[in-house]
Amino acid sequence: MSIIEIEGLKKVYRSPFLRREVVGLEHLDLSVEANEIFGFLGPNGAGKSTTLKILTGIIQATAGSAKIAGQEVGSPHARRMLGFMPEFPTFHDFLRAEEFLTFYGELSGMPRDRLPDRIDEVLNLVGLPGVQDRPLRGFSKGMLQRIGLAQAVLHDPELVILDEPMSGLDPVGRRDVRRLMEGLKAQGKTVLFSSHVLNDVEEVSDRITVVQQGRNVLSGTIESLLSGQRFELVVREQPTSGSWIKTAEGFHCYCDDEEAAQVVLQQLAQAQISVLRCQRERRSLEALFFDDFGVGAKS
Amino acid sequence: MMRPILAIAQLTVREALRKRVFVNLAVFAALMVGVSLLMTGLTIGQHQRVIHTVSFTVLAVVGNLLAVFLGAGLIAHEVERRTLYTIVSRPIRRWVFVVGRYLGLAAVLAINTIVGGLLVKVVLMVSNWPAFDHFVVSLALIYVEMLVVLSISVLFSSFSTPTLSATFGFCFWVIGRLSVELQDLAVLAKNDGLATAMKVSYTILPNLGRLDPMNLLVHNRPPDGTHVAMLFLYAFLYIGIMLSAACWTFERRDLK
Repeated sequence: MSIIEIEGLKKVYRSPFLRREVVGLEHLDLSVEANEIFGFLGPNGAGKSTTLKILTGIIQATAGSAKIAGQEVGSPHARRMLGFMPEFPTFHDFLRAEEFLTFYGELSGMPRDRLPDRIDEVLNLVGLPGVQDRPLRGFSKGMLQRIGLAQAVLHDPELVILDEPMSGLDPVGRRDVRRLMEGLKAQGKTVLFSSHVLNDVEEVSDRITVVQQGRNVLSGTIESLLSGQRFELVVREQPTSGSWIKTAEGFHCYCDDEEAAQVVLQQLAQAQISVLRCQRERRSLEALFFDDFGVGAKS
Repeated sequence: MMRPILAIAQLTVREALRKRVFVNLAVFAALMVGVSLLMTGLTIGQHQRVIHTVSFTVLAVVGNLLAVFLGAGLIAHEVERRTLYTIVSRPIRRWVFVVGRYLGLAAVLAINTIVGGLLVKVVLMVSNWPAFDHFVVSLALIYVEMLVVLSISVLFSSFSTPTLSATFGFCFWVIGRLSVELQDLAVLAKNDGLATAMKVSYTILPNLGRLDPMNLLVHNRPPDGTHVAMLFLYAFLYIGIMLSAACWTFERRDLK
């Protein structure tokens, strides 16, 4: 079941006086299934943040449709389903952490008697235990990112939308965010996030879409997108025929397709050489992003 | 719907307290003490009237400047700092934010006016002069003027930058104070187009001069109840129109 359905979404920004037009989104189609972690990729200015802002009701689309759980985006019904953390979040820094989260709990209509326990729970979840009485003014960038995540998940939304949740975080912080996203998925929630950190996207996403110049240029599961045509074979002893590369692990050979790999496997069997590994070569998301699609080449 | 409105209003009051908006009251208190000491030496038999007019003028000027500048930042600052992103993505309509913020600032101005009024009472009491009978009505008129000015600033803040909103709000306050003159100018104007423009401006702009309690204070005249009630009705209608326009504009605005 799709929790987000986007069809032909277009956004044109107009400057206030000159009415000069800048196309933020050209034509975007997207479907995010319930209970998946969906990565949203693309170079700067591709339309990622524009899409997330439309979904959260911050801006309105010029054309096309976007629905959350069957409800038009922007309606209070659709927004009741989601939690959102913007890129580089800024908050009312005169508030203490507990006041800040209580405020967002009130806006979300959470029961008052449940709020104190839930605040403790989410602060633990994002790795900020015991900061209830500390003003946000004294928070580091990483702590603000974490409290931003806390407000996004406070009301236990079905859909969590995160715009660049890893930016500004150290490796430990990035790992914690990944774990939080996986934890949300384990609870049956859906996570849609944008990121420039390709390794993180690769590690945590079930499916991704790549946007360039306001259109999707690629969508699919991580497995289907990253598994290549070539096969990699690894053996311990060097075979007498073929082109083998020596590494610390053993000797590697790459075959163009499955058929070629079968031929090499037969030859190895005849030579009584045991095979350590035979698998489809897996590319990195970075290779896919830059080499195959040339994403960012024009920007 | 009241719960999020109250939460936003509470946030606004808390912000004013933490950002020390009420420091102006300390300046006001010092000024009052200074004026009362000065008046004792300079005026004969008019101390009570002078204290009343000076203190109410200062209260009105400070209060209206607060209304202009706080109102100008009410939405525009939030848009600039992007603190609104996480608020408007909650299941509330945008008008809730506008109304909640307005009520919060109205409460801040109420606290400011009440404490300011109490300080004047203290100065009068210490000086052994009784307060005028219509002290409270005068204070209420000043407060209602601030609410009108605040609503105008909020309207500009719903579509403009904080600087422009403050500039427009300030201009409307000054022109609103002088709007009676526009009516006179319309009569005197020889050009029909100019006369019509003056009449239209007089109709559209707030007639803040009518909310000025100085006539009551200078002459220590009892206020006409019906007239005061009509002034309040006019002011609240004006506020209603300004806030409705602000909500309508803000509901349709893209937050970049």
